[in-house]
Amino acid sequence: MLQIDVLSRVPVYEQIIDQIETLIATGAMEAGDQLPSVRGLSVEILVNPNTIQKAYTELDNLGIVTSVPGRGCFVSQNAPEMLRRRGTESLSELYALAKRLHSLGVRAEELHQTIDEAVSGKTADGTGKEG
Amino acid sequence: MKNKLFSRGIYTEGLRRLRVFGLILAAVGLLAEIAPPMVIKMEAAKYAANSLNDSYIPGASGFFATCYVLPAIVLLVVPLMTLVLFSSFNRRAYCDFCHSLPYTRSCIFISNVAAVMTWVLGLMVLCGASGILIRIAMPEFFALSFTGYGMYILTEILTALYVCFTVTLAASLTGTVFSNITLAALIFSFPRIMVWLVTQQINENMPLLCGNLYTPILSPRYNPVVALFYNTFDSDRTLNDWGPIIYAAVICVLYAGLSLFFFNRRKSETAGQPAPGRITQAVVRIALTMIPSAFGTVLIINGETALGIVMYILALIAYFAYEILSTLKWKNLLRSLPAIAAVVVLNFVLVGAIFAGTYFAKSYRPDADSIDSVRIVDLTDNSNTENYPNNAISKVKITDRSVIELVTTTLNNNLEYYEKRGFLPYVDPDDYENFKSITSSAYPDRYVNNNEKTFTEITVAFREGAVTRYRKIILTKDEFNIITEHLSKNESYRNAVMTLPEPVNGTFGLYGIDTDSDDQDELEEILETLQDEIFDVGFEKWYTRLVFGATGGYSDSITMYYSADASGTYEVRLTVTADEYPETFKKICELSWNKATGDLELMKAIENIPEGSKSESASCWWNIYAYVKDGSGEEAQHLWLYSYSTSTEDEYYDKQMNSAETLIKLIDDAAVNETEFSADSVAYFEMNVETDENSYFRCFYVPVPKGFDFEEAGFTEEGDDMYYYAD
Amino acid sequence: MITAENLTKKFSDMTALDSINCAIEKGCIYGMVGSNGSGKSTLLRLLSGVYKPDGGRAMLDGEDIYENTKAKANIAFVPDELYYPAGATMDRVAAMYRSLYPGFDDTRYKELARDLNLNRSKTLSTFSKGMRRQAMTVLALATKPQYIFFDETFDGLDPVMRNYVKRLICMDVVDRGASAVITSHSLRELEDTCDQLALLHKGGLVFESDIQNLRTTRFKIQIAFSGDAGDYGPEKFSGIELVRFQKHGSVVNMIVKGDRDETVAKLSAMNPVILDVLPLTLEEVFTYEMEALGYSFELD
Repeated sequence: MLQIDVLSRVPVYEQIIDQIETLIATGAMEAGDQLPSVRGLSVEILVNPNTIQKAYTELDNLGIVTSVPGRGCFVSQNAPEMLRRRGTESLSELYALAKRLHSLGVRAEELHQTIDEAVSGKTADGTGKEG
Repeated sequence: MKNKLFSRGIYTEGLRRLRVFGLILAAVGLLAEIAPPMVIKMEAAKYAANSLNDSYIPGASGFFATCYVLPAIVLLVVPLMTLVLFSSFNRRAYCDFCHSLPYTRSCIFISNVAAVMTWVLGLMVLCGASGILIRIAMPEFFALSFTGYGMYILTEILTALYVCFTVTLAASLTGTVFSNITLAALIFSFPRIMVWLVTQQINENMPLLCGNLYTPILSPRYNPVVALFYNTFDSDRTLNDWGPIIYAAVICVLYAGLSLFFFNRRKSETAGQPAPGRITQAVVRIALTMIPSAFGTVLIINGETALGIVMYILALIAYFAYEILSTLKWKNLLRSLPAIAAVVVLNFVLVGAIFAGTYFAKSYRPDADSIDSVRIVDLTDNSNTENYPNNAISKVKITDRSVIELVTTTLNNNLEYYEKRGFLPYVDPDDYENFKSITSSAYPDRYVNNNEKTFTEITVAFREGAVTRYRKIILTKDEFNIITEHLSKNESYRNAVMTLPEPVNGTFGLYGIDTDSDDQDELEEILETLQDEIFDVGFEKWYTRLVFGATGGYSDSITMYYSADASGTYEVRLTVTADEYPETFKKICELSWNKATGDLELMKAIENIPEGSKSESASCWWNIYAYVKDGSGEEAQHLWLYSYSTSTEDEYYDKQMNSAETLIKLIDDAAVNETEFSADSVAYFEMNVETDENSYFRCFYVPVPKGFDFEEAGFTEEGDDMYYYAD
Repeated sequence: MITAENLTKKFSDMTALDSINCAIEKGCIYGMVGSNGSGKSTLLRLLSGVYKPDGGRAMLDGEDIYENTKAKANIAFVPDELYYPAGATMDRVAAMYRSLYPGFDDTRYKELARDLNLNRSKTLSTFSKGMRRQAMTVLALATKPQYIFFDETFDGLDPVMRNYVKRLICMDVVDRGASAVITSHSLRELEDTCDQLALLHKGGLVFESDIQNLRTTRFKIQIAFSGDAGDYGPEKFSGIELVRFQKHGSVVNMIVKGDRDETVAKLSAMNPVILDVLPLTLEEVFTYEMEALGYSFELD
């Protein structure tokens, strides 16, 4: 389910959090779904269970998942909503960035194209890009 | 194993690691125990007809004769096995491994020792039992005696532990095999060597001291390892004693405790290092060097300066060699230099001890009044023959004031004399004006050291209160006579001399007569008869007989011997003469006569003598010694008839035939008439006869009827023609 | 929990460990890094009861470990120089372990041996060095100890084996709260396995920390301001903990310790024209940390 790149500069702990958030946000995991067990995940991707545990705890703190003692971690009911809101809150950043880029000389068409590409996961020439 | 002090795991592991050695040694030991008796049996089979030969009188086979592999096990196998197991602690990886496992160090120690001792005990039981069993199966060759087994076995076990703990102590203090072995050897020998050197020199300086008695702890009596070692080469019967057992037990406890203590403290880092620290290394080095340097010092004291310096050089070499060989680092040589000072200091201490000891020994000049009692103790030699009178003498407590005066005054005189002459080791006896010449022949060897000396030296135990001091004193013959006269009046001495030591059954024999295991009971009865006769005859006669021994003629005296202790080393020899101990003598004659006549093959061969003498290859020969006392008060006669050893018809042929006929006639008559033995007239036959199949060598007594005409039968006086043989 | 309190160990001519303080909790995978001679092996040996401390204490749950069979029964030690009894087979060593360690699991033992194709009844001396390492690792794992120490063991295992062992360790950590202590030369190796890391250097503990903490609280920042900011030094970033500061022209490269989001927020508020944030690799973290302490970070 998760793909961890151990060579990346990004700490494993952060990769786990990011990937789970992505899975929830894209709907691959829905509210109420159970996250993989720490043990199982640790054995599968060969990551220190404490690391995984920390990631889960952080997700719990953020409210994205709820940990039920003795049963596991489950996607919180309002998780997708939370993530979407976070994304929406970051829209202002996009606004500021677009404004800035435009002021630097980037054309509106280029801006649109870039956004399309990012969302669809394809370049103009049709090759697939992982988002 | 939750048990804190013993672990089956380590124990089993230890057993396994010793497996190869154990099995090989078991095979070797078994062979060593079984082979000699088998060889004896095979050799006996070769001389089947002559199966009763002198050498097959069943000798007393006590513990050390039967289980003779055991001392070798204790002295060689124990250190080997202990070293095998404990030298693995010289490997860092092994130490770390052992210590990382949930054992305590004590547990590791005890389990390993248990493994070694299991194998050792197993080997002892195997070899001992096989030695015993095979000898039980051969009663005609071995007279097994089980006396003292309990004590001996205890001694062996304790000694094994002693050796084991010596090695473990060394292994706990050092970390390489080389240093293990060096330290083990030092632990064992250093104290003894030092004490021995000091006392030896004191003895040299003060010749009137008596070596062993001065430091009894040094004598093999006490140290079982040394005793066992000597036992291998020279039977030391003093092992039948509580001394070695207590000594070994004390040492075991001490060394075991020390080993455990040091093993627990032993750091893993010691593995592979010759010693855990510079101090231990220095101590070992100094001790090692002390030995040759102490010898050097003693040599110099004795004036052998050149040799002394050689020893010093050797000591220096040893000092540095050990350092190099154990640490393999050249730079340590420089670092180890200062510790040589300790060696020098110790040598001075040694010299001091010697002088102190000598001074104290010299200053003992007692007053006769302060001496409570004295004993004449003989311990200068360790020949075991004719020791039983010695034993008797040494136990007698003399309280007669004149004797005490005599010995005390002599001691003081001796000391004064030596003082004037400066205590040189070799005294010229002729200088001493008070000594007169005495003849030595009246005295047994042990009282006079050699024929050149004109005085005699005895050892006296002076007892003052609870303290006994031993000194040698030098006396003239007259003075010595006073003492022996007193002794011979002493009741307990007389009894002690007259009481024969208890025999070990199965060890009896006669010189000049063949006996075997069937005769043992009869011989024991004969001994009892002898004992009775001794009491009848009285002290003086018996004492003289003991002193003079055999008269040399078989016809009127015979020597009987037996072993008086289980280890088979205390031989008692008693001469039985016809005129003094007639009953005993007669019984011996009867024994030999019955044996001879009971041997039908022999009788047949005797009948065959005339025929046999004719053949070219005849080797029949005989000697008949007759002893005749004719009651008229005249001196007894010693007569002789012999064979002429010829097969050709010449002047001696008739004589030969006559001699043969006399021989046959005497035997036949005695057999037919059932002549009784009489101590007044008896003949000793010594012969070698042959039949077609076999040859027989026999000696036995034959009863001679009263009034037998010896002259007519061809007997002559024993004399110069004794060694005549016709060709 | 295993704790070292002012732990000191001296050998005849040098001090191998000088007043070390560290703690290994239950359920963690603890890594120790250091060059040769830094004292890693010595520390492990002190903690497994092989050595006696010269100063300070080595304790398991408050009790000294040295000569403490109860404590040692909870610790399995796989050393770099393997020892095995001469002529022993795996089964024999397993039998010994079975009698010593209360947690010895026969099923696991047989399973692991099977998985790795190790012949349990062949003498260990006939194994290759790598297989011997595997065998001893299997045996240690089979004892299911509370604490398992690997002294440079991983360095000698092939990647497949390494992952296999890691898997087992992870399972034990989750299932039983077991802990593993791994020493290594390779930071890379430890980085993704351990959650705690200690750096030893010349007998001293340079630092000990949670890895996640290290990775997430240290980062590289490249920042530049528009030309009119003029000349400035590190004092410009007063609220931020700087480990390192380098200015080339108008671009500043700095290593920062602290909360990332907070720091980024602070820096953004200063309106830089360039603001790049990069997480650091562990190796970089260590290098900079050591530099700050005056050492040069070298692993051989």
